Amino acid sequence: MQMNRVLRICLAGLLVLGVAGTSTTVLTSCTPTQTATMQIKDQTNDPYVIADAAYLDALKFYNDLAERYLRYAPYIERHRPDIHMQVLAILREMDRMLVTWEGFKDAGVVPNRLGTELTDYGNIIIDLLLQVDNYIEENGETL
Amino acid sequence: MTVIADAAIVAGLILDIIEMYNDKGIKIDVDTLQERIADEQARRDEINKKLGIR
Repeated sequence: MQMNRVLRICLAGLLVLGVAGTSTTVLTSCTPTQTATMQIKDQTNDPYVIADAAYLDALKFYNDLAERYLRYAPYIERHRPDIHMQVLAILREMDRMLVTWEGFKDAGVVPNRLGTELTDYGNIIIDLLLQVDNYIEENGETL
Repeated sequence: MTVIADAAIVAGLILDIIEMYNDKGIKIDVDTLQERIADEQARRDEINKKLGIR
């Protein structure tokens, strides 16, 4: 239990220092490792190609997040089916946003607002998972 | 024991997602861009199918 408390403090710190500090720039700007968008901008000025790269970053962000969730979904569903349903609803919305993003891509436009919204949804999922973690610890004896 | 293990598993998932935010780990150039988009679109379809999305 003590270890979980320490872990939670570390997670809170990471959220503040890591996610909050980079979330608005994750999909479109400078980050510790280069996005596809940044790499392609170094190679061409063609707005259509740059828009393709931004779409690839958004697609990969969604896939990486959803794939990770998929691996652990049985644990979340077992303890908090309500939160599992909320996460699925958010992922469904993110998937719809990617369909919208595809339209921007075809027009050679990088929709920065959608990029920010996608990372915001990722942060909401993390908050929901923290709730599950707290719930498991606090209600463990009744399970 | 199971409860502690499950809490640790969920905490591991959260850390994994946070790490994902900081690791864009993608090597790309103009010539392979379209191929990579097609790969990620196929991956998305597969993930969505497993999650029951769409």
